[in-house]
This record gives sequence, structure tokens and C-alpha cells, in this order.
Amino acid sequence: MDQNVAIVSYDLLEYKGPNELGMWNDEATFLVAKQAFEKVGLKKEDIDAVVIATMDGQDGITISNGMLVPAAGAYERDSIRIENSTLHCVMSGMAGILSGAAEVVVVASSDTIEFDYDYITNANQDPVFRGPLGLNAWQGYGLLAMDYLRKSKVTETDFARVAAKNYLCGSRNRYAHIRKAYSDEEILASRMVGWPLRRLELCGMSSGAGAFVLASEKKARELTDSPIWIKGIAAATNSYLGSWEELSSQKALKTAAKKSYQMACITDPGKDLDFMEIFNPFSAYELMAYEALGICPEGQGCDLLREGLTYPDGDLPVNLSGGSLCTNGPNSSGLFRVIQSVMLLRNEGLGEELSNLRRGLVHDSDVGIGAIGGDSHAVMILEREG
Amino acid sequence: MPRKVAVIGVGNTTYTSVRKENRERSEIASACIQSALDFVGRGLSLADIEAVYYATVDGFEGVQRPERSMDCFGQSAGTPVFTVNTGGTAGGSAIKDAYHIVAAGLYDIVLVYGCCTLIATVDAQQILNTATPPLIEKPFGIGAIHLGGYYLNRYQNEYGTTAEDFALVAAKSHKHAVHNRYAHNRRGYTVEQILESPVICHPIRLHEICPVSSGSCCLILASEEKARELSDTPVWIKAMGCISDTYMVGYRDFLGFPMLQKLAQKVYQEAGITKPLEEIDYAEVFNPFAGFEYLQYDALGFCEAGKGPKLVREGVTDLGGKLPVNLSGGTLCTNSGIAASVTRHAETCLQLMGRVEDQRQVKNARVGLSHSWGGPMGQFNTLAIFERD
Amino acid sequence: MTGKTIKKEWTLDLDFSNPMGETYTRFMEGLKEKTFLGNRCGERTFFPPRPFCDRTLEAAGEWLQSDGTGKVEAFTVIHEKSKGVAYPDTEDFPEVPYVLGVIRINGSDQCLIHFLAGFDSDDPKAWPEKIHVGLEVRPVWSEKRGGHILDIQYFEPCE
Repeated sequence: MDQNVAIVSYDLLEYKGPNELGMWNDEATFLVAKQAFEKVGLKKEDIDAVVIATMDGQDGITISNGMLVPAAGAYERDSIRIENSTLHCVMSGMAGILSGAAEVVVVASSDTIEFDYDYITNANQDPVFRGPLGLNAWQGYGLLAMDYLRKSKVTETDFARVAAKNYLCGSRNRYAHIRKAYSDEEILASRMVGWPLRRLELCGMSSGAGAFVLASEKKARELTDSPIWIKGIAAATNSYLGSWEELSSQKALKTAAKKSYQMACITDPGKDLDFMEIFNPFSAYELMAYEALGICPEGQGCDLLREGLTYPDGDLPVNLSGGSLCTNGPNSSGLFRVIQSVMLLRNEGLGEELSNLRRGLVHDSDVGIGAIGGDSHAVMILEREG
Repeated sequence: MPRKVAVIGVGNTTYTSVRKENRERSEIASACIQSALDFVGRGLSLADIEAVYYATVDGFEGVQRPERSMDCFGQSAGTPVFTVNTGGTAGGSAIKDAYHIVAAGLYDIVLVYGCCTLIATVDAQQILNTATPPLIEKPFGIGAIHLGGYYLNRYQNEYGTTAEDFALVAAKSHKHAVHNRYAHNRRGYTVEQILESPVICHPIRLHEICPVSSGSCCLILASEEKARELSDTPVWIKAMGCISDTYMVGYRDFLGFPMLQKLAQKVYQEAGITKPLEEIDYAEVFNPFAGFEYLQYDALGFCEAGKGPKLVREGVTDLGGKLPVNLSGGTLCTNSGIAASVTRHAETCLQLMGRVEDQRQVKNARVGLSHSWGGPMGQFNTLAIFERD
Repeated sequence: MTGKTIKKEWTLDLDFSNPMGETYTRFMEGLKEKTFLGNRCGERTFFPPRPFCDRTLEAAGEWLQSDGTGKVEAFTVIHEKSKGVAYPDTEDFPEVPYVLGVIRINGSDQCLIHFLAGFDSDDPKAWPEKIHVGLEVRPVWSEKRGGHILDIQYFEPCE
């Protein structure tokens, strides 16, 4: 890309349990958007466009963008709502800026309502083949986890360990929802839900909200001394039907990763990246993602974990935010990880020992809404200057 | 440097009533997409499409994110799907985003698909009514007739628009839909027939209200380089924008479409248009209720406020006039939900390409306008200016 | 935030009726007759059938029949009853714990997700041993069949 786009500002609420925020989406959106503008001296008039990352079904109303976009400053301005993920919204904002239609774009997302996750993720299945089986997200995760267990040398203990790593990070993160550092043993002892996955290996639901501001290169330099540049970003979507090999292949994540690396001129992600924030709705997914993201060969995700590489004190810490096991706003989980990544790169609040992070990867996906097939993935590479 | 972007292909399926529809959602979509690929020809295939925008209000489709289980967008090759849901303007919003992303250089060839939103709905009003938790109805652009009533009553009170004025502009759409093989309602109601039809919600009569249609529409957009390779009639997007109003209506005045007027000023400026009636050769405006067309003439600066009926009586916005509007029959004759917001753009492009039926083809149309409208109480508008070489 | 706030509760109870199209309708008719239909699509074979090829958008070709025998490719043991199900249109919904599996019907280039049952053990903890990838299974048909994926009650081991 011959022009750059940066994240110049953000605001994030501390996440809580479902329905615990005590306010509606629009109020939460207003609070974070306003803060995000004010931190860099922007007024509502300076905003060119608003992009909202939510899904109607997860807002409990249809055309929910109607309620949300004005809260983020869209009155008399351009606005759009994209349902796939926060990173798809970032692509929209970037495209608006790089095409010259906008200079300043706000991206916002929020989760404030509580809904029945089992019901909704079953309702999201097709009505002909999978819906009638009662298939929902965690049942689908069970299939994927079993498959991974069989295909690679990973063990159920590895699954518990990677979950524990996430909980440890979450316990240190004041923005995370679940802040209890469950041990491997506690995780292995928790109730079996869909073999081989136990309750503590499955994400729950959280509520919170956040917003961040994208700006053109020129505007970014006016607004802040620490712009975080988007060096690469790409998306891909999986088929819904197919052979099991296709459905379990993580093809879309691999494709999105590859493309974003290309854009960011990354040839060896394991070495070129300083940290990653991955959407991990179940424990095993993080290890599967190591492989799809190309930081280890197929089937060897567990080695990275066993060697300590992806722990907070390792060479490539993954999910310092605590990941999705600790914080999972169905709409905003990606936004949460984007903002956490910006904080890490700016060294704003996640530990002094992590001050030398220069380049990170954020992954976002809507796999959480249905687990098997049809999932969209996006990968973004962020970099700070200097 | 932003690149020029053109519409090079249009896809349509036949429209019917949702009661009669027996095609499964992905069958409708694959047929629509194939028709767009065939339109372009030159060996263009699904594999060449680099991204797909699926425009929808998914709650109305009966399953959240229905496109996830529709394997007709090239997902087997990993093609990314962007699901745009902004209510009734989703088609316009999706086209705008697709335009930006190609202009920005992120993709070269993109498809925008507007779905047939209501084929699974048993009772449209039930859906519309339960949309919001507060006790406010959240109309989508079809049904929710009272919304049309608010705007048109106010307009009539202000400007003295007569029942015959409304029937005239409705008849204009109906007359031309007869010749549109992709229209749903092709009964060609005359002014007399329209005036004889019952008033459903004052001042709107039955034949001034859109049907609930099934069928879909898509567009293929391409960067300049690819467009010149693949098409002899690329239609360039000269300018495109969107504007948002507040959410809670509060004490919103239903007089006209002031937000559309603001948007038009911005988009016209970008496109270098100062005299719309002179400089625009064809327009498609979003008219689920026939009378909306008058409010749109006003907002788009085709005439002074309230003077729209004169344009219609003098044939200015009819075939052969200075600025023909809605010769497809408009949303009034075919409303398949979100597809209708794509169709407004598709029809303008087809006119500029010279690809509609002779009986409604405008000669030498070079500059076109497309509008979409929707969201809670018409909260959103999108507007595009197209131009061919 | 400062004061106590109230909560609003609501349920969306909406009716939907989705056209299935000719291909799926025909497949469902086949299930009523205890046949598992499929079709050919270019070089690939699909059980269940597909209306068109997702790679080329070509219409599917000839129809094929099968007895529904296939092999297990993955499975999970469901221990927790779902709190809510959006498609509860069967009386024969299994009680937890039960097995959900991925089956490749013989000859198919796509998989089917369905229930697995009929193992010679009542202990769910033993099931991950009893069920292995590659296990041959066949459909057990419901008594009452109405043209629905649950006209197959579950798949059972062949041996």
C-alpha cells in the first residue's frame, strides 16, 4: 500500500458478565466513542464515517445500526454496519480512507445484552441439515477439538494448559471479564460438556464496549505522536458444506493470514511478530491457530506451548489479554483484542516488562456464531513507529 | 492513489410473490450471480471474483447470517464475504463499500449481492413489529404503511398534492414495469385504476404500494484496468455517499427528506453537478410508496419543493423527458427487500449501458443517479452518480 | 456507572417458513422412502445432494442412490443438554449424553453431521474408545418419516 492508515485513539470499558453493564448498547457506544474522540482533540464534526461491528441477532433487535451509529457520531455522516467481525469493519474504514472518501473513521462495537447462546448458535445453523440436530457452537467445537486431538500429537493436558495460560493473562488484565487464574487441574476437573472439551475450556459471554479511531497518514500525524499503523489486513470465508477435511482445514484463517503477511512483508511470522491476539472460543483452537497462522508446522502447535514460546515471558506471547476464554463479547471480542493490541504496542497498561513490543497480529472471526462452516476470518498486522 | 471503479455486470433473477417462491435461497443466489457473470462474459467466472458483499437485514431472512450457509459466493476458494446490514439501504451501503475497497486497491473485482429478504417470512408485519424492544415500530421500507402515511400526509398538507398527483406518478412506474422482464408487478395500472383502488392508509392507495417480492439482484464492480479488459460499456462510479439521521424520532418533522437533500449537495459537488435536471440523464429513486418520488424530486433538486407533480404532468420525468425517473417500475413494482436497493443501481447502469428493453430505453443516457433509503423511519439514505464514457 | 438500573426482558417469537427448493425437497422425499439420495456435480459426488456446484455454479447432474452407509470422520460426546434449541421439531431428540458425529456417506465428497448410537456400551466414558475414525456406520430409520433429516434417527455401527 502506498498510503498508510493508523489507529490513533481508542477507549474501552472494563468487561463484565452478560447484562452486567447496566446500560444499553447505544449508551455504552456513546461513552467509549466520545472518550476516543476527546483523547485526541476530535469533535463530532471531525468524524467522516462510523463503522459498527455488531450483528442484529446479537443486539436483540433488527437494524440495530440505527440505534448505534448516532451514538458513535454518525449524525449527518456516512455510516455502515458489517456483521462479520471488527476487522472486516477496519477494512471498510481503511477502504474509505484510502479511496479518499474519509480522513477520520470511528469503529465501534458493544455487547450489553444477555441472550441464550445455545439457542442463538443453533438458530444460526441451516434449517435443513444441521439446525434440526440441535447443533450449536460448543457442540461444533467438540467435533473440531476431537479431530485435532486425533490428527496431531496434542493431548487433553495441552488443551488445559493453553486454557490456563489464557486465564493467567486474564487475571492480570483489568479490562478482562474473567479474572481468575484457573489451574490445569481445575480446568481438567471441570464438567465435561462436549468431549473432549470441558466447561472451563469453552468461552462464555461478556459485556462491554469499545471504540477506536482510524485516520489517514496525514491526519494521524496531526492527531497523535503514537499512531499504530495497519501494515497488513485481509479476510477470507469458509464454505459451509464440504468434506470433513475441508471443514476442519482452517482454510480461511490460513488464507487471511497469508495475505496479510504478504501486505506487511512478513516472511517468517514466528520471528517477525512480537505478540498475537487470537480469537480462541475454545482451548484447542489457539493451538490449531498457531498452525494456521504459520508459526509452526502442521500438527505441532503443542510444541510451542510446551516450549513456553507463547507464554507471557516467551518469545511470542499469545493472548496477553486473556483471550476469549476470559473476555468474549459476541460482537466486540475482536474490538477488544484490537484495542488490547494497541495498548500493548503503546505500552499503555499491560505490564512494564512488555515494553518492547513493536509488531503484533490480531485475529478476528465469527466462528463463534456457528462453529462449523461458513466462518469468516480476518487477520491484521499492527506496528508502532520506531 | 484511488482508482476509478466501474460497474461491468448486472445480475437479475425473475421476481415473483414470496408466497409462490419455491427456489431455495442459494439457488436464487447462484442463478443471479451466474447471470451477472454471463452478462460480462469473456470467460469471467466465480473464481475471478475476489470478494463478495452480501447485503441483508438478516433478522428478516429467518436465520441469522444466512449467507454463511449459501455456498455460492466462492467460499471454496476462500473468497471473503462481507455481510452488510444497514436496514433498507444495505444494497446502497454494500455498493458504496465495494466501490471504496476497489478504489483503495484492496481488490480488483468484487460482487455485490442484494438478497431477497422476505422469502422465509410468514407474516411481514409480525417481523417488522417485533424488531425493537421499545414500543416503536421499526419499518424496513416495505409494509409499515403508516410510515409512508406520515411523510405523504405531511407533504400533502404542506403543498396541496392531490390524489390524482399521487396516482399519476404511480402510473408512470406501473406503465414502464410492463416492459421490464425483471419486474414483479407488471399489471400496468392506469391512473383510473389506481384512483379506484382502496385507500390503505391515508393518503396511500393500494396500487401505490410496493408488493412483497422474491428475487434478487447483483452487480459486478471492477477497477479501471479490469473494467476496460472485461467490458465495452463500463459505467464509472463518479461519486457515492451515505448520510445518517438520528435514531429516536423524537419530534422529527416528516416534511420531505432533508437528509437526502444534504447528501445530494455533497454528492453533486463531488460529481461536479450543479444543475441536476440538466446534467443527469436518468435516475432511480427508492419509492416503496409512489408518492415518495415527489419528496425525492424535491430533495434531489429536480424542482422546487412541492412542484414535483408538474414535472410528471409535463412528462419531464417520463421516457422522452429531460430526466426520466424509475422506468424500471421502481421499488413500487418490485420490492424484494434488500435486492431492491441494489436494483436501483443496477437499473441505472443498465440504462447507461443501453441494455434495457427498447420500450423503456432512454437514448444516450450518459450520467445516472441511484438512490436507496431505509432504516428506522428512513434514517439512512445513499446516493450514487454514475457516468459512462 | 452510578445508580441501579432496571432490566428489560423480551423474547422474539417469530414464524418462518423457508422454501427448500427442488433438490432438497427431492432428497427429503427420498428419506421418507428410506433412501439416501445424492447427485453428481462435475467430478464430485454429493450425499446429501447439492443444487449446484459451489465452485463453478454449474447445475448438478445425475441423481444417485445409496443405502446411506458410510464412515465416521469425527465425533463428540454431548454431555450437557442445550439450554435452548431453535429447531425443536422432533419428538425423538436424544437424551444426554449422546454422540454427534461427522459421517462420510460412501462415495461422497461432502460430509454429513448426524447422531451416532447403538454402541455395545452404556458408559459414555467408553464411547471415545468404541467409536473410532473410519468406523463403518449405517442409518437407522425412524418409524415416522415425514421428509426431514431426522427421518434418520441416528447412524449405528455396521458390524
